[in-house]
Amino acid sequence: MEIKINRETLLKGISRVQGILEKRSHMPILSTVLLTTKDDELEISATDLEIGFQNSYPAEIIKPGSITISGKKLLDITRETDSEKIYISEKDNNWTYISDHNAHYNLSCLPVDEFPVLTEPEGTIMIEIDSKIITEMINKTIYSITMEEAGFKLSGVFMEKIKKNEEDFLRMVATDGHRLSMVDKKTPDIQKIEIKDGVMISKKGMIELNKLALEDGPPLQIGLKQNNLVVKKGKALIVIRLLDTKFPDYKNVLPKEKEDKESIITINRRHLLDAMRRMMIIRTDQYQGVKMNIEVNYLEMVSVNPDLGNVEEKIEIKYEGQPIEMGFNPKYFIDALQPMDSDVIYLNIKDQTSPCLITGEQDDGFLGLIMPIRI
Amino acid sequence: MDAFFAAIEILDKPSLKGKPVIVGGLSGRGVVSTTNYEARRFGVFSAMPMFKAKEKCPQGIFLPVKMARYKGVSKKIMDILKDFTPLVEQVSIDEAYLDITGIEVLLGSPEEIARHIKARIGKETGLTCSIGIAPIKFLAKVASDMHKPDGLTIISTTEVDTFLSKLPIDKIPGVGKRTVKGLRHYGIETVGDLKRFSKEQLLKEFGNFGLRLYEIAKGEDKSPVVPCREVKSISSEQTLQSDTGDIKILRKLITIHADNVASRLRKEGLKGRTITLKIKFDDFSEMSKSCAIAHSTDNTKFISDSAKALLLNNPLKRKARLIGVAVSSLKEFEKDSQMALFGNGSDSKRERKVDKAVDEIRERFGGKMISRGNE
Repeated sequence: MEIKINRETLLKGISRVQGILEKRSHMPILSTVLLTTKDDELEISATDLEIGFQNSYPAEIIKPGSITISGKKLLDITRETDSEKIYISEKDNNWTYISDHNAHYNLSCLPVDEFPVLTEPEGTIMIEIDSKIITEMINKTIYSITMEEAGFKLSGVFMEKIKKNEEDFLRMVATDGHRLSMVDKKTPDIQKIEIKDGVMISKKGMIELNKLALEDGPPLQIGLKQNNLVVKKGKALIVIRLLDTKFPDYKNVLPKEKEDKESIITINRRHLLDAMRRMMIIRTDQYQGVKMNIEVNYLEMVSVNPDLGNVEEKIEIKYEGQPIEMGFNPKYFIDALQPMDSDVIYLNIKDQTSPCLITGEQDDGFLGLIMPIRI
Repeated sequence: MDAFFAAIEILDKPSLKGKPVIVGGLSGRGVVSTTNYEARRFGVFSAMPMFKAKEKCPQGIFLPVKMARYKGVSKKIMDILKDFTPLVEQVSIDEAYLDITGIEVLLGSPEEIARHIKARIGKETGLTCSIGIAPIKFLAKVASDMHKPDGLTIISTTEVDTFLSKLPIDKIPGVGKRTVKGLRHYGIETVGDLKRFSKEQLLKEFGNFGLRLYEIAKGEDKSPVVPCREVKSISSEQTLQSDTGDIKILRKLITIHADNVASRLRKEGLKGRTITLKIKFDDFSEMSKSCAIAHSTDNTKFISDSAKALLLNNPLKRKARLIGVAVSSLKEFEKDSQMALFGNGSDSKRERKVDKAVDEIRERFGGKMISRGNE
């Protein structure tokens, strides 16, 4: 392989895959990228065996072929150069020569056939899906994922298709066992792909999917095949291996349709979010809770840390039900409220041992559940 | 206390008096816990492998450990000590520090107080103890060991310097074989030798412990008598009858030890966030693997499952000779605890009920009445 490539182009391509590369893997090949010539383009591939990424960038191909090279080193080389073009050439015995006219690098690389390319399964049915909707769904669910090793396996977002009033929706749910976030979005095409009982996608996979959705360019396409989630956008391809874990029976904890109008608290999202942030200031691992006294038309919050002191705040709300006293972890509220879009949100609290339901007018299809703390 | 376990055995069976009594694990691989002074004459000491003790003292009376009985006596003794001062720091089943500063006015000179304590323990339990009195905490311990059994040693303020200068370094609490080796390297044999070194030198060579050595050399020991020590972790472990690599057996043992740990946590009203699996291999190398969980737990099944997951994730390269489970990052169970959304979380209601029922059955019918089955 022998190519010349624009510095800016290579920098963009190589920066993009850094999140996927394994930094401290027992398999050195996973810290490398595979560079392959494709007609008049250079294809960059990276994988950690769970996620595979490929994208192609224009380049001047002098001699076709492919090499592997440390993703980090190629990034550094590209970053540190001040010349506009970079020349990369394959030498014998897995050596690679890189030059930017100033420096001449000779690098020992790994054989190309060791690189585990995650290829797109054949015959995957792809549907087009609005990038903005995907980003919204991910942002409003991903924070509930827990990366804790023990306990149940909740290290991903659960995705399934559901029917509401004869219409097809894509649903994403995430939970750490103490709170849950869920978004439903109308996606008529979803019936074309086979999800069966739902799939689990790792947090890292979701982050990569979100990155791709946020990039400019042609529409986003997704598909599922043989335990893989396939995502495409123009020439970019991500193959994400599904998690082989069971998601808990979350439907049991979702609130029943009937709502007691009286017990709904109407509140300004910004006000509540800011107040919760202030409650966090004196919180430690030991003292996590904030006490919420919900009275007619006002909410009083108190956070006490015997080692430090306390903080109190009162905010206006709309509420006509019975006064109720609850404890919550303020961090859970901050996580849930931050990505929401509504100015006015609704909290629905049944009793001291049931989750608080969070919804918002401009947060179509979203609901958050937060379990209280015993006070 | 003097030869505590052995002394109690003799108390329970007076015919043993004057004979060498050895208490410890009697199985092939057990070790000696305590011996009386008759047995020590044969060269039998605690922590010696039982088979060796039997070689050295074939005519000895070998008895199993009756921990519950010893604990009962220990509690009686600690209660007696607490009659003298509330500042009693129990450091083991048969050792405690007392801060008697200020009570001389009420109870007489330190020597009189000590004689008083000895007399009451003798009268109420029939056992003898050795007491050391010193202005510095660690010296009190050193003094108590000087004239065993039934000793009373006083190091007065004016004697501290002379006493310290001759004290071998291995008498300092916390100085083990390795530190002794390090100290000897610099020609330090006694606490007096330590004085030749500056604070900086000791800090550089021995880290924070060097600072403590420096203070000790100067006769300064600021460590107070702490009435109730904070429990940092709760663990349960055992040396196996024979080394094994059988995962099934190891899992079974994990269940037992997790259960021990969890029921002790519940008894003490504690919950922990870090679960550790400890394994010692047949070559005496050790493996200790931990995982942190999102919320503190005292649940048997959860702790056991987490420890088993650690075993699964860390394949054994050798046979195990010891296995144990520990829970740390403890905090007292407060009402302030996060509730779980799903029934199968760490705080699961069902599991809590099981634990509670098991605890109650054990309380009423004894510890061996009920135990966890293995899958």
